[in-house]
Amino acid sequence: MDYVGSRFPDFGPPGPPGRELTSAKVVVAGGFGVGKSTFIRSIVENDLLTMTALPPERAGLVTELVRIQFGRVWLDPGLALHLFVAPQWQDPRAGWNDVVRGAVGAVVLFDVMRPADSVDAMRYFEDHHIPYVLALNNVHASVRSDVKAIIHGMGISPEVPVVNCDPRVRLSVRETLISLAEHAKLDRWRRRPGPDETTPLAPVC
Amino acid sequence: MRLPLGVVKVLLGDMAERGLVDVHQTASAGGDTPDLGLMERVLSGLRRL
Repeated sequence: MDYVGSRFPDFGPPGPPGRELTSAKVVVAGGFGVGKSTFIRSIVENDLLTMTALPPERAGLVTELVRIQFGRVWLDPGLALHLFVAPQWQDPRAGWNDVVRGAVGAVVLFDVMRPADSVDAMRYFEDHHIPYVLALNNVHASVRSDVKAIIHGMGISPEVPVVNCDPRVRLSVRETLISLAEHAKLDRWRRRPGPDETTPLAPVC
Repeated sequence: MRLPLGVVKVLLGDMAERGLVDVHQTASAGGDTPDLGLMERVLSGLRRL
């Protein structure tokens, strides 16, 4: 999915005109009401935008559009990070492949009251080899280790970082995204092509 | 923003040809996975936020 720059005065790049601009993408997934939009609003510069997409499997039915929310934050004058709200998993119109294509990684927000959607999302990212972090929202410290044990018991890789996150707090969101970026970088490093692929050296983080 | 994505893609393709919009390079222009250099840039940028 390519991004197209606009010249809207309230949503334009901060860098000098003519500079090469690059986009990176992060997908935020999880159950209904778990705080996906809140998470993104806490870190982006403007309110979320809504993109309407035709789900590929039902492209003939114009009435069945998928609305995808996203926001943008500039990480440096030439690099924009786009954060996308993953469509609800149980929505049969959801075309996740388009949303996650090319993503740096994903954040799966997890609320113990609604675990099913988050687990589906985790399985999706595992199956598609997309690095992700599990962000526990509203999980009391006393049960965090139990939650982690249950999640790992479901076959989720123990390498997946599990962090605590309050989607309303910018600093918490930032920390979660840093965890994701570190994990994704390590994952990418392990998968890098070339003859050094099997050399068990620790990456420089 | 109220048009189907497929229509928007065609419109933007025509607009990009005429220089009316700038199309940015994506993180994954060469494939489905961003490269390590970009990962490092994202990480550094997040730490500066």
